[in-house]
Amino acid sequence: MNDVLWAQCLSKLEAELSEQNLNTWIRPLHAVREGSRLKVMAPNRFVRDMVRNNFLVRIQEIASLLSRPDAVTVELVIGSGLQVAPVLAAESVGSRGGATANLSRQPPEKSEVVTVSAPSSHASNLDPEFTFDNLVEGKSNQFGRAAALRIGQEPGRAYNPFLIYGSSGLGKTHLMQAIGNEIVRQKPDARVMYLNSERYVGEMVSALQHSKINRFKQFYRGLDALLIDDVQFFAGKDQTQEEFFHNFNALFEGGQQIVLTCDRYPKEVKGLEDRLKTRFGWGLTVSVEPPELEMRVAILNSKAEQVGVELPSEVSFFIAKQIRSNVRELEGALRRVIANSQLMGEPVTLDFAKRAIADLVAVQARVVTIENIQKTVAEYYNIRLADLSAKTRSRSIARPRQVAMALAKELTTRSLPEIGRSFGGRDHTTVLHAVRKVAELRESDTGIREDYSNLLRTLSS
Amino acid sequence: MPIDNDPPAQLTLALDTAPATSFDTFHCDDGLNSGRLLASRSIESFARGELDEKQLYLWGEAGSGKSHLLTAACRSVTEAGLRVAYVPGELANQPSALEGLEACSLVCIDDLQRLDHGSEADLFHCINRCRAADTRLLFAADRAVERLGLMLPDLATRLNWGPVFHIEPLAGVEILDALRREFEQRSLLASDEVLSWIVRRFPRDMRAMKELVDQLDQASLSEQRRLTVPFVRQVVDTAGTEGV
Repeated sequence: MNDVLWAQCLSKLEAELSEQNLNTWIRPLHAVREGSRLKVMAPNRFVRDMVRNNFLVRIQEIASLLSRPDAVTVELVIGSGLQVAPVLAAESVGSRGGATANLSRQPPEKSEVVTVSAPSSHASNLDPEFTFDNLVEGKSNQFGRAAALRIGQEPGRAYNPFLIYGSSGLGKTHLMQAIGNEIVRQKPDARVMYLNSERYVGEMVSALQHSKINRFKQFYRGLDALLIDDVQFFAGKDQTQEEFFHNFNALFEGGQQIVLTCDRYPKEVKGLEDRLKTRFGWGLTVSVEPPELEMRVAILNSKAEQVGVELPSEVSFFIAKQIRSNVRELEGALRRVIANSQLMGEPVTLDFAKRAIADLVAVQARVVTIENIQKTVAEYYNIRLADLSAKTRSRSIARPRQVAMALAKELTTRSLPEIGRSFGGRDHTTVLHAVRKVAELRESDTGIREDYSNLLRTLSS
Repeated sequence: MPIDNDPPAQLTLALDTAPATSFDTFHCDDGLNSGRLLASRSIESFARGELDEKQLYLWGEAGSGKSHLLTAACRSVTEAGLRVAYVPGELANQPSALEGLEACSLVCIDDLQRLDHGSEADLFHCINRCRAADTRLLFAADRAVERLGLMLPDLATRLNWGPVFHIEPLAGVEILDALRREFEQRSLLASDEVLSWIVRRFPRDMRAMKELVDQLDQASLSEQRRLTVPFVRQVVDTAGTEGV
């Protein structure tokens, strides 16, 4: 909790500075009294430097005045007073259940105090909300889900490493954390650690700075399962990759489970070392795809149920038809409808939902046009735009044309005959055939699946 | 642009007579169905921790009141004794500016349209840390997420993760009423003629109008003059206040 003297300093500063200066430089600070020192902590170097250059003299004056007759020296440092890196906090590294610290925050309305709890065998950074039970299953994630469940039940044996890749917001983190939660459910004392790549890098840098790199190594090599999210951010970080390479080898040889996620096929990540790319492919690599309409509806119903809201089916179908690209934005649209309904005290009806996300629909509708799709597809396959409307039936042109037609069907509200007309006056049955053919190829042909997914991502973002 | 040696922007003294930037002083007399009132109510509930959301995204053109709502949210959280951080978009581009903010209870990032591509990954990581630490996030920009032209799809989906609100600037009679209230809150009397003159000169930009009202307040006090159109014009010309 902030020091009493600091609270008094804040009151004084509030009378002297503009709201923006207060909110940007002063209110992010935290302070503790240590004897004759008032240790003021800035969240980062940038804030610290600005405070030091512009406000520190005044803060010292106010603190001296308020603490009379005692003398007090204001010391400005970077820190929060809240966080302790798990690795560095560990007393007994590698010991069962003793290696992770759990950051828990009391409800903000009660107190700002954030505590570092006693080490617990469950402190693994896992969000208990991400389980297989609430992971909606559909065609787009069926295989990945089944494989993940098996890993959760047989970590280190089924598929190792397990790499999940796909566009943003499709549930990679959910799938990954569900594995971790399943491992802990099956074996409560299992040492599982979930973290995103940025935190892994941060802990490694911190360990290097504090000469605790051996402790870092011991900690990560002592886990039963290591789950690292968004490994594409390792790109270009040579020292991290070097360290991770050795950790990976140690875990792999020890039969400990490694689960990774990436926003694209790892071989496509520039700046990632080849030896890591190769190792990532040793086990099982699965992609997650954008969910189909039925799955989007099921996801909306599931999420609404989680927050205790009954969603009429016409509303879930309406939202699902509008938001096609990813689950996160689907959830965002639902949250918006529910929040509006609660604030305005109106029931969630189709009309209400239409009004609530009207501008979102307008934005999406403006973005995706058939012309836009044709241009994007032509660029993607490196063919001429005119080829898409031409009579040419060679495979190198016909396949991209079919893909473009399927995308037009999925991303616009145009009818089959309208789409046909936009592709050189073709018949609606040609479009229908293209839509079916592409759906079939997405099941059987990895290349087409990748292409479609990439194009969908480009057009929907 | 390194600004380490520059003074921070807007290092101004708080004016005693200016009303506090709060939800009560946000102008939204239009009906409950309007975006302005809904956004204001949502952000107020969010700041109080009464809305079960981790983040909100607010967009609307310059002068529509976004910064007012963000500042009001900061005030509300501060009054509860909690820490806040308000980061304008251009400052978010500074090295390390988005680090460590998860120690606050509320983080507001304004003018996201000014975020450089090079800072997108930093914001992405900042969002991840804040959400993991239960730090509430409030974003504002002059356009929808889809129009920010972000290079990092992961950031775009994260910005759209929570409810999004769009606010329109005040228009017509609303803006005249809002301006009248700005004068009233400073215990100043302004005739309809003066109000109309200002509204013609500063259409739709409430921020510029508020700054002018503050200047008029000071000038009228120091020169002991009533607010007439010639006097207002004189203040505007002297101060070089930007109108249209």
